[in-house]
Amino acid sequence: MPEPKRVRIARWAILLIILVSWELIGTFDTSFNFLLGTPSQIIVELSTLVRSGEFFHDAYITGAEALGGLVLGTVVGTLAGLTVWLSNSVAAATRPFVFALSSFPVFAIAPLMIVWFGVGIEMKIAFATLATVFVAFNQAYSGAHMVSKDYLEVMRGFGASRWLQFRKIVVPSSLDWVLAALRVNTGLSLLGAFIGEFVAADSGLGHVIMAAASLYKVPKALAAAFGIVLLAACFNWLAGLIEKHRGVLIQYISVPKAIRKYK
Amino acid sequence: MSTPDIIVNRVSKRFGELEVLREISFEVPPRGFTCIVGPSGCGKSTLLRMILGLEIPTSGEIKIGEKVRTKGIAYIPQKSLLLPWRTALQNICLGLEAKDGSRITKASLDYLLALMGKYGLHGFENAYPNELSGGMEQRVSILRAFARNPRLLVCDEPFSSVDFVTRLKLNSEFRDLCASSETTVVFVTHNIEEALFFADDLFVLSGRPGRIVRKHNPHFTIGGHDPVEVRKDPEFNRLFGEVWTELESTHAGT
Repeated sequence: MPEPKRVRIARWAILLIILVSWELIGTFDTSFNFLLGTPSQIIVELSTLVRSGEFFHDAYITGAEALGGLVLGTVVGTLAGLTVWLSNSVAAATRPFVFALSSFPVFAIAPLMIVWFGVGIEMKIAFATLATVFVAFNQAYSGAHMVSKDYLEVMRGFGASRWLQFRKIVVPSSLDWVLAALRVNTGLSLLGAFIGEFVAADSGLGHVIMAAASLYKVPKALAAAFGIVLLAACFNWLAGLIEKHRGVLIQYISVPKAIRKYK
Repeated sequence: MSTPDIIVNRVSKRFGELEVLREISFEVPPRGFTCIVGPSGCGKSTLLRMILGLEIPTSGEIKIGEKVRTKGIAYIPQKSLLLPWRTALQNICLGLEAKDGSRITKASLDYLLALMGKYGLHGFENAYPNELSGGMEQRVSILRAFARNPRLLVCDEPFSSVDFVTRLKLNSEFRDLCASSETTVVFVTHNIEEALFFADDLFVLSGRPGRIVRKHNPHFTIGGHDPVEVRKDPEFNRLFGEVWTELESTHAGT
């Protein structure tokens, strides 16, 4: 259902009020301007970054790092989380370790990440992977273990092996959990890449923010932060696109080719 | 005499302190239709679950014949339990896919599509379970079981959730399907009429703990293939009364 017109007007009005107030306070109050700049200054900085090509280059670097980590972390975490279902004893044995690791602050091992992966793009991808892999694992693990026992009993009643129960029931019915993990991981992967760039980098939006902030160029830092917001929006759109086509995805992963065409 | 497909030998089942079944013994002959009727909670479903290997007897044993093990078992649960992400045809094909290394051939697909047509599912091949009526869902569940042409079919009150008219139609269709296949059927129900209509061997179970009270071998001369016509046979009514009395007396005793 489309939103009422007055809601949309109110939304734009709120944004306008914030921006105008910010602009006015920033223009007349120098200390406020020092800390936050003004929207017009941010737009000027953004257009300078865009025109020089720096914006797209840095956004590309950060985006590639985050996307690499998002794909790697989500795929590895999901595969591991789902396959653990195949063995009750493995699931029981690994459970406490996984839950302990998933609450581990990745940032705490930043210096070690440099030792392990250097200061190049591999380190940022590793950060983004670490930031996403446990969420993917936990979601897939929970999804697989929440599968309806009734469906599994039908398959067992038909004499289906555990592997077939896994392929035909567990994987497709865990898909919503996996997609929810993907949605959360879009933000976490960017955070991981940003932390990687924060630790050591010579390019990327995180690097731009760090360099600008250290010189008190707040508008430039905020212009780069806007770039990260744009990347997050793109990632979210991609995750939404996959969610929208979950029906097709489920056919491909669990229905034999011979009957897929009847979809 | 041919070897039974299932031999249930002095099987008892307890869940902790609760004794569900006591010393159950019977045999299921090949290609026979064996019905088990009993009051709610007498352990009928537990008995089926033990035959399917989903539960282990506390004592006694269940021997599954060689032919059943090689040709396979299919299961029709009480609720249709269709997978919501699969279409009607894909749900039916699950019966074929449940076997390791199985492939869906064009011949098997044509056979299943023909069956769907015969049992009122033509045009619903690509419908999802939420687009089907209760009767259609149950038909899909039945065809899923027949898809792999199993040697043994285990049914747990499959028609209990549909209305009376649909139930009679499904009874008739199900009997046709069983008659046209070489399948041995074990069918659990609390509906005496349904049991009388289907059964070659009918076992009456007492209330909990379930014990076999009596075995009947219903045989009707009038309308044996029609669940409505068969009610006109005086023997049907006589047997109904007999089974009813047996159920009532055991139920009252629990």
